[in-house]
Amino acid sequence: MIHLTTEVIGGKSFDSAAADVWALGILFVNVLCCRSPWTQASLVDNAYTQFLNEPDFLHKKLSLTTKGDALFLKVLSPHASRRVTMRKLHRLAADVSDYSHKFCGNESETLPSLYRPDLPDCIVQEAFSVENRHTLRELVSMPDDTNPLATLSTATHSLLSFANPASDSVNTASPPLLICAGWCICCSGRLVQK
Amino acid sequence: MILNHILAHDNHSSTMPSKAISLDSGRYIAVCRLGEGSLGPVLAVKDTSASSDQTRFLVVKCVAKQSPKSHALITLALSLEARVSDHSAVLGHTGVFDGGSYHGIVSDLCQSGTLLEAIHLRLFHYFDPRPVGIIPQLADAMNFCHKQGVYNVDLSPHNIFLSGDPTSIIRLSDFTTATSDKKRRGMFGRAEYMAPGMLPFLSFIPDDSLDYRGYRRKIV
Repeated sequence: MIHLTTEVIGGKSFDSAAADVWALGILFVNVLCCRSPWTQASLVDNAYTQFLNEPDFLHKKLSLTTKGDALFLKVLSPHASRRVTMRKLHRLAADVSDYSHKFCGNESETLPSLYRPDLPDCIVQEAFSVENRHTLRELVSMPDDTNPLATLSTATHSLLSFANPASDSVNTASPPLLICAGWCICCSGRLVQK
Repeated sequence: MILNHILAHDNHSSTMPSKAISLDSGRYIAVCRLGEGSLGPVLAVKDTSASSDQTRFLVVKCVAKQSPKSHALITLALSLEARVSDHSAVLGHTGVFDGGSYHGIVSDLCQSGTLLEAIHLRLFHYFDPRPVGIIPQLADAMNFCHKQGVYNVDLSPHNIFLSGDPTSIIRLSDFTTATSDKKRRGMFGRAEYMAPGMLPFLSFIPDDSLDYRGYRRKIV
């Protein structure tokens, strides 16, 4: 994946607002399926050209409903002028529960993974495999030796923690967030560029 | 909580780098690296100016001084940020300092990490994001930015932080690539999140009169 620094190069001008709508669309895909639809929206990218060729591409990959499919085609339109406006997207996003049949992760293996060099996919998948699937509440109360989070923590030197709201306010409607600081204190010697 | 982990490790010097990295003439001590911004690292730091009984952690976003214009860039970014800082989903800065080769933008530490980490840990695979409302909240925050005339916020899960408050989880943090111009040239942010017209090569925007799904057949 290319990490581009901010630099101005020559080229055609583009619509700032429409570019934000596009980025937000990609971000929605990230949240819905833990993956990015393509690494870049250009003809060198197979997934993107597939998307342009096959009307059903996102529909299949994200198990979208008809309504969701229609929304994503409007948000991820290559044409800036045909893309929905941010104002309209704001209204449409409120109905998000109608857009996808399920929130998928492993079903979309063929899509590019989000880049995270220090946290290999296999380790995350092992710790969070179907057999190890637990509710967050169970995970919190599990002893360290069987807790998949502990494995993950050791394996990746990641800091794992819970943003645990006051216990009386924990309910299923607002699950506490699992968090990972990403860079272990043990590795903080790496503050210098790797 | 992350803070507790940091505090716990703080007392064990063996796990810390032999030489503490200090910023802003020793006011902040780097604790760990949280991520990589487009112009430099993002660090979690300890504020040594806070009173001794209360340890305070902050985030410092380093912006490399690439050109004489970098100061103007920071000024613009902060002024754009100020326009939208009324919104609860915008993580405003609490201070700025000059670190010699870079500028440091200081803001509060969001204890729940970034959206990227949440996604990467398959958080939403196990916990449905709908009750949390990540998507509507993102759309609401961006809509607010656009209403205030702030565009091209570098939208990516890398720099969207998560707070512990379920009613207002997300915190947009990076305005260094933002603009108030409706039309713009150049590349900003990460390639993944760039719209077709922004990329330099083989960036294809189909003719307005064509159905884009059919363009490929037409050009091949």
